[in-house]
Amino acid sequence: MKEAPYSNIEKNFLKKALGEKKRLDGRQFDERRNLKINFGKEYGCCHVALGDTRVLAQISSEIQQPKSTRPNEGHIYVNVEFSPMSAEHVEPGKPSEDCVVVNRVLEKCLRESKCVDLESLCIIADEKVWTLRVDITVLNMEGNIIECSSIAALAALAHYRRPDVTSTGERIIVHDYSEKEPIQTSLHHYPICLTYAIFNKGKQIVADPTLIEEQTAEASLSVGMNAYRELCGLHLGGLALSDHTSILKVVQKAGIAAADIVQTIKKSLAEDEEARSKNEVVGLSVCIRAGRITTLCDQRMKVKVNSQSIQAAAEKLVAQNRVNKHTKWDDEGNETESGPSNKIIVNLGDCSAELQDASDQEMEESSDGEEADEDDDEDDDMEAEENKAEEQEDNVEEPKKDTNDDEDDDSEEEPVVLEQPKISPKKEFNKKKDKKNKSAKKTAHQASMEAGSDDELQVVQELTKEEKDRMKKVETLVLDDSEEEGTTTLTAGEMEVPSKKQISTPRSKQQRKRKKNQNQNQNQNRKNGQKPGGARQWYAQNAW
Amino acid sequence: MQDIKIRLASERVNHSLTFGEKGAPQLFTPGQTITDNQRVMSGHGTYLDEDNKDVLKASVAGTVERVNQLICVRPIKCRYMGEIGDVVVGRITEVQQKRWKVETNSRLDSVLLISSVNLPGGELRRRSAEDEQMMRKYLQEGDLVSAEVQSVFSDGSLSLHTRSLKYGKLSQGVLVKVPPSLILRRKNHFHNLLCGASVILGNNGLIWIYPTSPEDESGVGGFTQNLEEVIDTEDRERIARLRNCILALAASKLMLFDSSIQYAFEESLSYSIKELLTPETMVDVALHTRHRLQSYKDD
Amino acid sequence: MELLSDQGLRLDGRRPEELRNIRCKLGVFSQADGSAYLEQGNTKVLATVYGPHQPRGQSRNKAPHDQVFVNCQYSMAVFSTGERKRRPRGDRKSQEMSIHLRQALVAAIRTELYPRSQLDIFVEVLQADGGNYCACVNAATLALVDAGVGMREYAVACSASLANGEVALVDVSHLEESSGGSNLTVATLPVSGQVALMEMSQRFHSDHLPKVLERAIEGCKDIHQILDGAVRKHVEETGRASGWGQVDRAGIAL
Repeated sequence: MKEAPYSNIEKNFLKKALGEKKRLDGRQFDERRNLKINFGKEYGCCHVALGDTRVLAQISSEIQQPKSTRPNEGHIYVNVEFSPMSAEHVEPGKPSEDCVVVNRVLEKCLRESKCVDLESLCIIADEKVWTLRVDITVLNMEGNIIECSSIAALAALAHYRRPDVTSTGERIIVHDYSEKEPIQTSLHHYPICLTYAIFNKGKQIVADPTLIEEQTAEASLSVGMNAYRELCGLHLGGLALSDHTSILKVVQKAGIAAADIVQTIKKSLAEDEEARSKNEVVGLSVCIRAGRITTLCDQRMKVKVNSQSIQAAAEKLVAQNRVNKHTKWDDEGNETESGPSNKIIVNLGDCSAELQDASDQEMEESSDGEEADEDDDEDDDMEAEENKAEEQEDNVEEPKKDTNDDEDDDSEEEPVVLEQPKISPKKEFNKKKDKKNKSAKKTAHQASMEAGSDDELQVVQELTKEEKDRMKKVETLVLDDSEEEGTTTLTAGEMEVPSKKQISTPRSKQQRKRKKNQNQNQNQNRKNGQKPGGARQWYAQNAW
Repeated sequence: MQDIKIRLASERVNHSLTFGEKGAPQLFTPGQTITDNQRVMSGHGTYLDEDNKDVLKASVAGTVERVNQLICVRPIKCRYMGEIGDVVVGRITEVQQKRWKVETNSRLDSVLLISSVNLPGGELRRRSAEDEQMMRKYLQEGDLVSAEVQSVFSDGSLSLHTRSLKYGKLSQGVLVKVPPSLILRRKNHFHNLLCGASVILGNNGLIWIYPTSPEDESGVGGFTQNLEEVIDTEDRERIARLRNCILALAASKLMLFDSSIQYAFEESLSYSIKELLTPETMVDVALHTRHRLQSYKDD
Repeated sequence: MELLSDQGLRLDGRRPEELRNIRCKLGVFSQADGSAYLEQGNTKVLATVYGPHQPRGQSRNKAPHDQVFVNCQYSMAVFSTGERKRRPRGDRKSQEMSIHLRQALVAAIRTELYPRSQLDIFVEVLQADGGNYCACVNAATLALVDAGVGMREYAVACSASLANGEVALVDVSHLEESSGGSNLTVATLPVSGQVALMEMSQRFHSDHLPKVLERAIEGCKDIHQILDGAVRKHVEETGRASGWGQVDRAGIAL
């Protein structure tokens, strides 16, 4: 496919806006887009996103013979490829002109500036040296590939650890990572290649251009700078500029920007180092998890799954959410730290569950006892949780109950009806036992009807460890929705369910009253100190 | 036994004929300011400076030609730029739907519309669909034609026509390519030289040398191509000599027109045809030709 | 290896602001529309220009409607470097050079004069002794002038380096390049002072950039003088022989 050019209208608009000192995405002339650096599980794997431009770098090493002219220096090769997924016009095979340009600029910046200490890569002079290969794949093109690639290459190089080597005279032994601690690459300095787009014969110079800015620009300037304000490479190409003093100004600014970026890289490296030392390697999945629903699944497979398994799985995931301080991504892709979230499963639908923040609840009476306490694997916490559930029971919000009503429809469709327990596990267990004789679904249904809501969910509070292991196999995709309503929804791609849940109809006073009585009964039972052991046994027998 | 001549590159013969003549007119090179008079108009080879609209600069290297307010700079060598009325010799490159594309050593291929040719049989009729199918029968890719420039399109390409009997497909002869600037613009480009051969001096630098046919002028033209006719040796030799002469004149940058070619032919008779290919002989012939032209001019 | 001795002489005996010896000739090929041969010190380069002509083959789609399509090819003869070059063209460095060549020349050529046409520029390095790119740009400019292609002005390129961290050297040779000095190559349009291309490799502090850049631009201006002189000489010779295209009524050249 040919590259679709930008229309004249767009280009003229851009130029006009620049004449008024405005950029299309609202940035300042020397403002850069957000830089996100993520490292992979392996050493030397790095993913960098500069705005929407995404680049993946991977380092690999090999032992080779050195060049005869430089017998005690290793080699470093840089290779940049445009993946066909990065843009419509990229075709696999022969690299295009742009690709060649990017390759050369990066080669100059990394190789000829001698940022890597090549002598440290030597094993036996004149015989064996390490060769490092930096392979960069451009995953998405949205302008400024050179900068993104150079950051990725540097971060990957700094991240990479090569295997340790001992030489026994004639032979050399390459040690595995587990045998001996791998060695870091020693970098003399960190050169970054910054790109600027030049308009109007040098009168407007713009940092970190987007794709449309690049296409409209008259000339582009790539400057390789390191933190010490040394120039490691410079390339200016395009239509002639009127004045070379503007270039000198740009070079000054580039020095400062480069220092910032090097700081960011070092920070990310330090964070990754920390994570590794705590054995908490997350890998690249973090950068792929989106902050919004990215796909809409219209066709769903109706799978009859044991109700408990889903509940348990949902619980477990919610528990994980609470414990792990995982980062959330809002709409712009900015990271927002989320503290341990106190999420409670409100409703479990078909492959989905509605959660609610414990903190967001108002003091309202509810007899549903719908909150399912996140259940960790510890049985010790059970008591505590029971108590907690008790407390929280009072905090259930009105709309929650209402939404349960809406689940009527859901429950009818679904082959699985998930019941919510009354708070006391023992009580619930007892209840279940009674109904067990009749078909579980039907009675559960009835039970919930009695309680005044069809879809009350019975959340398993106790599970044996084996149960939990088994539950782990059930996978659900966890996505975070906006938190405007204070509810978050776990859904495996379904959109209908959340919307349904949000329609609320008021519950009748009668129902509420009934619920309240129920809960009070449960509490009494619990206080009598009934042991929950029986429930565990029951589930052990009945699960799957 | 053949003579093989080897020479060093540094001993290459310089073809240019230097004469201590009257001073050269003023030369301009690209980027040089011609004038900053506001009233002048910029012609070919000049442009107005972007920053200062008053200043007129040259964009090629050559001499200035001034016609009242219009200033042009003519380069010594450039690709053929057609004008209406020029005679051109070209080669068919493409057969398209209602026209042929002719390569004429210019910036873009010229166009020969089917409505601009004389159909065989000479009748004047509307071109039908059949004619379109038969286009290839008239002119194929690779054929040489002589034509006249009818008009110039807006993008600079030429529209040719062969509506006279003297134009049309060329049959047996020799094609010589020289820089277009060496061809003098005259009234007549078809010459029957006294030496016994005929020549078409195309304005685009392509020269066609062919044997003079004994009949009258209508021999060349139309779409008939007589490839069976055997040209006798004398004619061939004359044509070969003419070709070498033309190349000699072109190498020394002399203007080509019927008189100069004729004189060159006569001067070259003292050499054999083969010898005319050596650089020294070429310079010699050119020199003598120039002398003769000068002497006739002075007379 | 010291790039600058105590007496202020470089490795080949030049002063820091001295250019290498430049010799050039236009119109060396009769076949091409324009051709030139240029020597800059020991670097020898041949350039030819074909066009503007009708784009043929695949280039037919590439010719934009309002500009000429410039096709540059940079090639190094296999015998041009110390060790025989295995790949004369098509490798990454040559491709990059071709792209840079095009960038510099497109800035000088009046591309709006030849829409839908193609201009082929071929450059062959016969002997590489540093400053290859600069010699190529200069030779290509001469070839374009010889072909009569309309240009805004000459596109001239020059390289400069930094010695001992303070003194700027102009027109670096291969020996100076490989001794570890940084190398800044600049292609400018000297009359208007516009910069068409800037290329730098190796490493030096950005504070030194202004003076190296100044030195390179000065070098470009000096080279421009030399090239202009050569063009004038050639035009005079050629024009005189053809009588400047002027003929009298009898059709005899004046």
